[in-house]
Amino acid sequence: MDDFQIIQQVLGGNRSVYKELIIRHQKSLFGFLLGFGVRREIVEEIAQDVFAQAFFKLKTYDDNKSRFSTWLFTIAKNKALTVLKSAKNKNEILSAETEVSEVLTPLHQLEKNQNLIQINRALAQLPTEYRSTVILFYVNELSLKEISILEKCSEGTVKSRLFRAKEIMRKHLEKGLGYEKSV
Amino acid sequence: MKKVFDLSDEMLKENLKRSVEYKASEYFADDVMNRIFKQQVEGSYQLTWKERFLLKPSFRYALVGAFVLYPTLLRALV
Repeated sequence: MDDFQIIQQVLGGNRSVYKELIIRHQKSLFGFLLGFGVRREIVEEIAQDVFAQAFFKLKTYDDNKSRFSTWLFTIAKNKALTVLKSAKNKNEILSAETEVSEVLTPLHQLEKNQNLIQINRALAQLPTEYRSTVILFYVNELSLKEISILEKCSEGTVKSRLFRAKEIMRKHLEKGLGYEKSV
Repeated sequence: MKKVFDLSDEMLKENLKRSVEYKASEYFADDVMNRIFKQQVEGSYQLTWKERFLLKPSFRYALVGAFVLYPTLLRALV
């Protein structure tokens, strides 16, 4: 059963099948929210809000305009921006730049995790719209067209944001972390 | 020795995906469903005016009616 069929069933009254949509999209939603800078401790709470909001707005979803995941990310982006704006203490919401989930043991693992920390720091330097574009493109693997719909801008703008984001990250990595040349 | 930082698309994809990896609680979907049912029972989900306009015909009619009647009422008063 694809997303559209599930949505039709939910709208037809079989609400419990919505759980299948949640299971299917939760991983990419968590990735998107974490990439946006939301702390791991509160990411589930925000994701719950997003899925609940999507459920109540399901009638407004138009499958001709976008995939369900793209629509979900639009809600998530608005939610994340609202949470970040309304937070009195931004540190309670924003993630630490250096979070890594793996244990640093073998040497190559150490180097990999160092890369990860540096990439996270560079990502944190990006303006919000650049950061969300980077996450949608590299993590959620949305097409340029899908991102342009979600971000309400042209495909050219998406391309230029990706290019500029990489430049900012490259400069940050070269400047602050002792790396002398980027590929 | 000069160290080269690889900032290729492949590397970005791999590293960014790892950096946002998250293992949700196995009850996450159930928690969301419970929250939805609770909000439905309590009616606690507050629709925005835009959602009300899109979803509720009565609200839509009231809004359109107000637009239609406003000039008539204004003329009657003046």
